[in-house]
Amino acid sequence: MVFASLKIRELKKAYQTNSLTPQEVRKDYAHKAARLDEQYGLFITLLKGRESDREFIPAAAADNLCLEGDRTTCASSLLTGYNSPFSAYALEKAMAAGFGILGKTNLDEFGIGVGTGASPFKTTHNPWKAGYYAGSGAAAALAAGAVMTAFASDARGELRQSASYAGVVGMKPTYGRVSRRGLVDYASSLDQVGVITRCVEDAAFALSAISGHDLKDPTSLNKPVDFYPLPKASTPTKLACPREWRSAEGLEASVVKSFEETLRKLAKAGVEIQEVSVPALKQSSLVAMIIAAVEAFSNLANFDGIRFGERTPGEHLQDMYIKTRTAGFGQRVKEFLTLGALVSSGKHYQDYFLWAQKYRRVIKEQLETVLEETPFLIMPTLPFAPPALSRQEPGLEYRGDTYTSLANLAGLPAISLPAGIHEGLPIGLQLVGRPFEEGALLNAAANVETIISFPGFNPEGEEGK
Amino acid sequence: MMAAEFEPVIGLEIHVELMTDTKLFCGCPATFGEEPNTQVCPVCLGLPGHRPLLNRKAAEYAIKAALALNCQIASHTTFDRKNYFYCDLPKGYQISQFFYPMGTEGYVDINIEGKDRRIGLRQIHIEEDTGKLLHAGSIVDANFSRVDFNRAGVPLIEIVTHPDIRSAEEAKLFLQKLRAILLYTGISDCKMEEGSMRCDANVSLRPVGSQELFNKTELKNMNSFRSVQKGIEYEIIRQGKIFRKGGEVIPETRHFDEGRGTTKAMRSKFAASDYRCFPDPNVPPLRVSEEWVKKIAETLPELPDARFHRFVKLGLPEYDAELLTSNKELADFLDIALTYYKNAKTLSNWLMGDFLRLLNAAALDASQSKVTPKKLAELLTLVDQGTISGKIAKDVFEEMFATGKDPKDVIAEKGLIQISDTGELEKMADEILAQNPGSVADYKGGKEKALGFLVGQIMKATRGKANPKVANEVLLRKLQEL
Repeated sequence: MVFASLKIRELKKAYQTNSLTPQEVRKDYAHKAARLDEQYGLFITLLKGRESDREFIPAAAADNLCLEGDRTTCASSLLTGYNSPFSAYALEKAMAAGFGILGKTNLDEFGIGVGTGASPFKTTHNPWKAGYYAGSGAAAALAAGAVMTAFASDARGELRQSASYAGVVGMKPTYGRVSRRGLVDYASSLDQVGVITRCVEDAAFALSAISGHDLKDPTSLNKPVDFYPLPKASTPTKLACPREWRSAEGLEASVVKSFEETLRKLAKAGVEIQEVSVPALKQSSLVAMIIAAVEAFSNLANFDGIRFGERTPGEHLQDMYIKTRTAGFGQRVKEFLTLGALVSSGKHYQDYFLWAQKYRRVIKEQLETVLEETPFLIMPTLPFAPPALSRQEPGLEYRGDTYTSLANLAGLPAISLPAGIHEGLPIGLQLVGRPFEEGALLNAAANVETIISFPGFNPEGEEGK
Repeated sequence: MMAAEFEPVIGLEIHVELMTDTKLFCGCPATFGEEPNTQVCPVCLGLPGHRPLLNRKAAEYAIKAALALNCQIASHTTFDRKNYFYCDLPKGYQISQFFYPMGTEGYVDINIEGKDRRIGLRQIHIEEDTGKLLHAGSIVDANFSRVDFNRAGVPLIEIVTHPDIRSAEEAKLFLQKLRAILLYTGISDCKMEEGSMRCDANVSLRPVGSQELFNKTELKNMNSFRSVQKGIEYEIIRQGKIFRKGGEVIPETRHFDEGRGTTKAMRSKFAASDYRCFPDPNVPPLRVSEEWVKKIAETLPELPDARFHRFVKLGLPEYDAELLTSNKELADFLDIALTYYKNAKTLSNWLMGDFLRLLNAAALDASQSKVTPKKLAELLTLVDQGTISGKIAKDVFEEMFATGKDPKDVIAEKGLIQISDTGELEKMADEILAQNPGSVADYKGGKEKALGFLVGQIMKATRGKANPKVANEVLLRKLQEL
C-alpha cells in the first residue's frame, strides 16, 4: 500500500469506506517513522501515537510543544528528563481531530535556529540530499514521508524556512489564531504554532484542526475558523512583490533564478504580479533578532534548575544558577541570551531594544499599507538554497530570516511552498496574507501550487511496487 | 539639634495583598497558611509552556483602591516583566505594571499635631507576589533553604508615595490612615504581622530649604507601624551623624533589626539591579472603560474622611470622630446604632469607653461582638426612660457583652429595675429616717450634706436600684414634714 501520496482528505475517505483501518495505518507509520528516524535523525522521542477508533492521521510535533505522558526536551540538555504535566492546547485539538502523534521531532535548542546543528541529541539530514540542512526534524519528517503533518513553531521563520529546505508546505497562521499554551516559546510576541504538510489542502485541514479560541491563552483570539474545506478560487490571484527582495544580503543566484522563473510562470497563468515597495524589509531580520533575543533572555529565565530540569549543584544559589545554565544550555542559546541581556541593558535599552520595538511598528504599518491595496505578498522564503551541514558561516542563520521575520513582526499569516529545485535541493517561495484571512491566503497558495506544479519528492518512491 | 540643619525626605512603598479567592494569573487559591507547595500549578510555578490569565477581580480591587486613594485611573494599562533571578521568583521575572500603572497621582490626607498634611501618591500598580524562603537555621549560615511557592502569584498592589513625608511620626500616621482607607474598601485585610501589608521606606536627609534630593537608603523588614516609625527614626539619626561628619550616605538597602532597633546594610541579592522591563507579551494590555470604573466607584463605601466629617456634624468631638472612623467596625456599629438611638454623643461615650475596653480584653472587633447595635440602643433607651440608672446599665452591659442577652432580660433576671415607685420609697424613707436620728438632726440644724448621706442609705438598702432623683424628693418632703 502506498500511503505517502495520499492527502489527508483521501485518507479519511479510505477510513470511511473501510479500505484502510486506523490500526494498520498506525502500525505502518510507526514502523516507518522509526526506520526513517535512523536514516535522517528526525525524532528526539518516538511515540506510539494514540489512535481513535475511527481515525489515525499520522503526525509529529516539534519537541518544544508540550505533550503529557512523555518527555518534552525542547532539544535542550537542561530538559533531558522533563515530563510536562500538561499538553499543548494545539496538540490536544489536533488529537481530538484524529491526528496521532508518532514522535517529537528534532529542532535547534528551544527552536532558536533552523538547522538542528544546535540540538544536543542529533543532527537532522535533508532527505533530498544527505549532508544538507533540512531545517528541522518536523520538515524532514514530511519530506521523508514519515508522517502526514507536523506541528511546529515559527518565531522568525523557522517553520517556513525548514519547509522550504525540505520541499514541503509550511504555514504560520496569524498571531492569535492558534493557542500558544503549551508551546515552550522563546519569543512570545513572535511565536505561533503552525503546520507542515505535503500540500496546501492538508495545511488547510491541519491548521483548521488546531485553530480556535483558547480561554486560557489571552493572546489567542476568538475568530471564526472557516478555511477548510477550501472554496474553489474563482479569479486569478493578484500578488504584490516587494522590490527589496533583490537587495537581500547574500542572495544566491539559484534563488534569483528560481524565483524569477516562478514569477514568469505565474504571470503566464494570468496571475497579476504587482511590484511594490516595503523599505522596512531590509531591517526586519535585525529588528526580529533584537526583540527575540530580549524575550528569550526573559522567557528562558525560568530554566534555573530549581523547580524542574537538570540541576548542577553549586556552592550557593548564584553559583548553582551559573553552573546549571552553563551546563544545561548549548553554545548558541548562551550566545543568544547574552545578546538579549546586552541589548536590553540600561546602557543599550534605548538604542537597540526600544529602537527595535519602534521599528516593529513601522514594519507593521508598511505591510498594512501594501496589503490594503493587494491582499497578498510574494517573496522567496530564503535568500539561499539549503546549505551543506558543513557550511559553518557566521551570520548564515540570521540572513535566513531576511524574508520571513516580517510576518512574525506584523503577526500576519504566511505560507511557504516548494517552487523550484536547484542541484537536487528544493527552493521555496512565500506568500503573506492579511490578518485572520487564512482562507484567502490558503486559496491563493492552492492556486500558486497548481500553477507551479512542483514535482514533489518521494524518497520512498519505490515502496509498494 | 539636627532638625535645625537637615530635614528628612521620606517616601514609602507599600505592598498590600489583595483578598481575591485566586491568584493573579491562575486559578490556585490565594489563601494564607496552607501546607507548603500545595497551592501551585504550572502557571504559578513558571513551568515551560505555561500561560498567565489575568484575574479581573484583582484588577477591579486595584481600581477600587486607586479610587479610594484619589488616583487618576488609567484607561489603558500594561503588564510588564521585571527581570531578575532569585529562587523565590519562579519565572525569573515578576509581572508588574511598569509603563502604564493602574492609578497615578493620588493622595492621602493626614492630621499631625492639629495640622492637615497631604501626602502625594505617585502610583498604584498591580503585581504578583513571590514565593517564600524557608531557611534551615538562620539566613546567614543555613546549609540549605527550601522554597514555598504557595504565595507566588498572589495579587498585590504596590502603592508608591512621593517623597512628601517629613518625619517618622508622619510616616506612621500616613500608614495608619492608608490602612484604614484600604480596610474600608475591603480589598485587603492589611495585616502587617502576617505580611498582607508590607512597607519599605526610602529615607534621605537634606539641608532645610534645599529642594535637592540626596542619596537615600531603602529600609526593609519593618513588620509593624512601630517598626516603621522606629526604623525611620534610627535612620534619620544615623544619616544625620554622617552628614555632620561631612560624609556621604551610601545608597543601599538596609535591614531593620527589630530587636536592636537599628538598621544594617543588607548584602544585595545580585549586585546591580537592571530589570530590563518590557511589556509581557503573554499578557495583553488591559483596557479600563469609564463604565467599569463607574461601576466599581459605586461599590465604594463612605471613606474615613467623609465619615469623620459626618460624625463631627452629628455632634461628636473631633477626637471621638477620629478614633471611631479609624476603627471601621466600631464606626459601622455606631452608624447602625444611630438608626435606633439618636444621641450620638451618648453612643460614642459607650462605644469608646466600656465597649472598646471589653472588646480589647476579649481581642474582638465590634463586628464580632455579641451585643448588637440594636441591643445597645435599647439599653440606652432604658436609661433615658429611668428604668435603670446609668450605673446599673454598666453592669447590665457587661452581662450583655458576655452572653448576648437582651437588656430587658438581664434586668428582669437580676431584678435590677429602678425603684421609682414613691409608695415603696416613702416606706423605705420612713425606716431610714427612724434609724438615723442624728442625721435628721444635722439636717434640721442646717447641714444640707446630711441629705446626701440619707439618700445614700436608701441606695444602699435597694442595692442601687432606687431612682436617686425620686429618693431625693421623697426624703426632702419627709424631712420637711417632720
